[in-house]
Amino acid sequence: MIFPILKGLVSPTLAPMTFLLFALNLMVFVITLDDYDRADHAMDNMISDSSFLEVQGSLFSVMIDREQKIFTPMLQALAKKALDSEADSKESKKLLGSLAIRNIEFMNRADTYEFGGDQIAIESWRRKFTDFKDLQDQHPSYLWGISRIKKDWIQFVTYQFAHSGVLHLFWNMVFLLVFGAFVETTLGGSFVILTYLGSGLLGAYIFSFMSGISSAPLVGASAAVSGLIALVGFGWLRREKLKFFFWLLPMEGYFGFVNLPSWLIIIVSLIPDVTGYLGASREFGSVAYSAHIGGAVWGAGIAALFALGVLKKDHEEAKNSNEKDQTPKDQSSNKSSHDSSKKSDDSQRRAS
Amino acid sequence: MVLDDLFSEKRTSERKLNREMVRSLDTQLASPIDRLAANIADLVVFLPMLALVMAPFTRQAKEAVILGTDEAWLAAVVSAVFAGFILLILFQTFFVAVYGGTPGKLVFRMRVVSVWSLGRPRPIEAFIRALVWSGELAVLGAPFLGVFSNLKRRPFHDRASDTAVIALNRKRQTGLSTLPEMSVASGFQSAVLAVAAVIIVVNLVEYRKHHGSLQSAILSREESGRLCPAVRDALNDNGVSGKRTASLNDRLNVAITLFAAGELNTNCLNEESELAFWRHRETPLSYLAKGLAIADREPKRASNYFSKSCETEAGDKKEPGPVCAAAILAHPTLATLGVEDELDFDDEDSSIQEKLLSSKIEANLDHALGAVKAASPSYLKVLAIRQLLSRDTQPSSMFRILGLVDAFDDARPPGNFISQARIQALFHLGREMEATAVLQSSSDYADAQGRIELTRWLCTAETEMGKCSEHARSACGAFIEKLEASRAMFDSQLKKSEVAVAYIRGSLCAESKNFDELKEKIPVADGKKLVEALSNMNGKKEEVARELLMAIVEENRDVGDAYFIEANLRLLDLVRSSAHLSEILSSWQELEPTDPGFKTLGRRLLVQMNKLKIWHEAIPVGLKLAKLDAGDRIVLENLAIAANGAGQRKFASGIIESVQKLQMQKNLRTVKNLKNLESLGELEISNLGGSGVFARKPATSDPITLESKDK
Repeated sequence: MIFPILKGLVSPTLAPMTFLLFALNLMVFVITLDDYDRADHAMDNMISDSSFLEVQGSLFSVMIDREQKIFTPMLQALAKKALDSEADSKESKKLLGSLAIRNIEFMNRADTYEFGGDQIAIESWRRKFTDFKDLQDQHPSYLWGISRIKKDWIQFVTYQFAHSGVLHLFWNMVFLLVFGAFVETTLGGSFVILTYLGSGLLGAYIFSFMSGISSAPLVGASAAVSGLIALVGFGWLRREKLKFFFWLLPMEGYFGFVNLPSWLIIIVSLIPDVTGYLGASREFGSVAYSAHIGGAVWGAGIAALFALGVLKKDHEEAKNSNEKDQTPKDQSSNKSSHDSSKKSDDSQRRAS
Repeated sequence: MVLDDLFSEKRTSERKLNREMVRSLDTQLASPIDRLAANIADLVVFLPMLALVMAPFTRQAKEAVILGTDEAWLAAVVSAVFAGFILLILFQTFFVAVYGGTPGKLVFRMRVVSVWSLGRPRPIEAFIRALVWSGELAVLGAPFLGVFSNLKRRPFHDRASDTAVIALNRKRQTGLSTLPEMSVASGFQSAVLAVAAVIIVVNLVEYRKHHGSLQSAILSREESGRLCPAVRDALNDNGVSGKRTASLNDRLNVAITLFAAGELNTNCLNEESELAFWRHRETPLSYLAKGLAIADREPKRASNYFSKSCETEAGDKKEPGPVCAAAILAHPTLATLGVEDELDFDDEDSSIQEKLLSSKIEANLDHALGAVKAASPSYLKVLAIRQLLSRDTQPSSMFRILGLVDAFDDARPPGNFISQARIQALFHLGREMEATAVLQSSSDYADAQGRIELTRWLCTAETEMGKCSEHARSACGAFIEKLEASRAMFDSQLKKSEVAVAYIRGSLCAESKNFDELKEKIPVADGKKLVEALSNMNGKKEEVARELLMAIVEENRDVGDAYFIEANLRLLDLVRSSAHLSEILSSWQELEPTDPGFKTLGRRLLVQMNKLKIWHEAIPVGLKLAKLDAGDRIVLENLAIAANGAGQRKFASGIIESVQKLQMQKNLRTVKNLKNLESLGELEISNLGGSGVFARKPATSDPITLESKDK
């Protein structure tokens, strides 16, 4: 096991922006907690109704069968199995019934679509389906998150602060505090805000671009946090090693802290997102990984701009603006102070 | 390969190994624990890369599992494993050849060195080392234990590639393996190798077994009941074959026929309808099957299915199509009054009774019966026979039944039902000898279960009125003989209430009555209690008998089974006052007209009520029974007696007129007669409004005694 420690948890006074983002995430989670519980419970109840799922799966298979071009080969094969296979058609229908809820075509058109087959069962299903869509409309993931069904500019921001569960929030916040605080104390608070929001937006854009067939909503700070991780992973490739905690064996000397190159962060934290995207079927929600990748691309872009000198550390920016404000007679003294600050910066880097 | 290992003599002579230099390695060797920790650390870097390389294949494998395509799954898994091995070899080769060690080794300051130069291994050496290292994983990494079992701590991959692993940090360097260390490790190594071999062999065997029995697994699922093996068997028995579409229609046809004959359960029929729905989209037969399957538990939905079956069937308006006719015959009320707002199925008040009595249902039923021909589908004929048997025992109906059963082959499914229908029709026509002959002949091909069922029915029917005639003795004797002949089924059969009751009736019809022996034979407590009650009745201990019978009634009130009916019938024999009768009446009112025993108990109840001159309450009972069978003379006559007794002379004379017409027309029942009776009944019932339960009204005349029919 290995975990990036970097500078560990720093005081809120040293990383106010990071803690502000943390507080916002926490606040939104507390606000939406009850709504999540209620909506999840109601939706779970409907989804656990096997006859509802079975009929829905049957109807979805009929829709796929009729309009093969707009559905993925995987869905086509599943529909064929549901329609043709005697032995496992029930399970296939239930699975398709679950997948139908994530499918934008089905969710948008099913309530008015003319299905053949058991009209009595279809009528009963249609009533439940309408109830289900009403529940979706009130679900915090759809209100705060991004989906193909509901997508507004405000949700591109709000989704970054909403979480669907305690674990989801916990891990995102752990990484936000570790990486956000590290970036803020080394580069400045503006880098944290720029990376967090920018990564979130790019992640959301890529998600909505990639999620062609999916109607599943996207919530969470994962994309934004991926941006911060990528900023550190790529931004520190030619800089000092970073502090990690490792635990290999329960013996002295085989666990503790170690300084390792930043590419390890790319391998450990970012490659799994690409793996997740490639390894999961789109029908089963691989598109969420695309948001992580989008966030990471933004973070890597910020790192590149910083390496090229386009972006500067906050305190360097402040100094530059001070220099411009000062009169020519002060220039000589400023120059010396700038040199001394550069020297101290270099000495700091060597020391670390 | 060197260092006293494989082919060492030959190789050392070729490349002039500096043995002194190699000996210096003996004190610099890396510790096994460090090597283990380094391997674990390698996983931190390697596993994300491995997952990335395998990702497309794992997706394929997951999709193959979902789609159940074994070949695709196998191909994906093999590809994933292959890609993983390639990556592992590249990973090991690259880091060893370029950096002198994998990331984990570098972190722990270890190096892989070539024994020839004590420097970084050549690429070919690094490649061979990586290849062998990867291969060792296939045997659970057993050769890795070579770090203990080999004197110079060189597992097989080190020896194969002429390399060794040394520690740069002096504090972490270790020496040669000790003898105890080598001995223990060798033992472990052998054990792990053996386990690996067993796992490989077991997996190979399992793989072969699984793939060899795939077809039989599918077959066993069919036979387990989900796909109704009874239907398949019946199809085979009837020699039905054809194309896939045709065979599905045949399946439904056979499934509904078997269901109508009581030889298929609702779950199986439901599965058949589901199968048909999603194969053919909409077919009238699939709607009918679905409706039949859910009619008992979801009548509202069932009525919608019945309506749909009629809607979707292409037939002319003069006569319903076979499917629509079948729906009406199976559930006349549900199929006729299908619209939800027209009938509240949960409401048990009198409005439902009125609706049940409505001529619309009856007319529909007659219409449906009119559509049944000898050439009609089997399911329609079976449903028509069932309907005819439940309606009345008129000769015309019985002749009709005989005409329909002639179109079937008794030896083929549903043979038991057909034989039973034939026997019942002959019995009701008074052709007991023929009925018995059919019973005997059907024994030739019917199975033991079928034989018992046929004889049981005849015994029950013959003893229905509580008398032991010659025919009853003969029929019940045959039943008892058949039941006792099949020792294997004796106890299990007697656990069924209807079989036990028939057995008790039959045994008591026999000349020598032995209650104790009979009680011993019946395996169920209710049955024993019934025998005890009958024994007490025989011994004139009426109160004890009544208590026992009441206990049986109470215990079986929710079930409404044969014990419940029999106990009520026997209680009727003990009725001495109207209070006794009220309990039996309430029991009867709890029964549905379709319940077995409804008619028998109702008729006996009606006769008994007239005997006790409870006229006003007898009329609704008579009307209810008349509705069920408008040609039943016992019912009509007793209804007329009750009406006359209650002062409803117009009603009574109307009934008597109907009875006379029935007699004149040789018991040919007409819709007109029925409607007359209903209109009279409704009129008079409205006049009787307000009379409480058993609120005795003074009789205006003496009852007309028409008891001769009973005798």
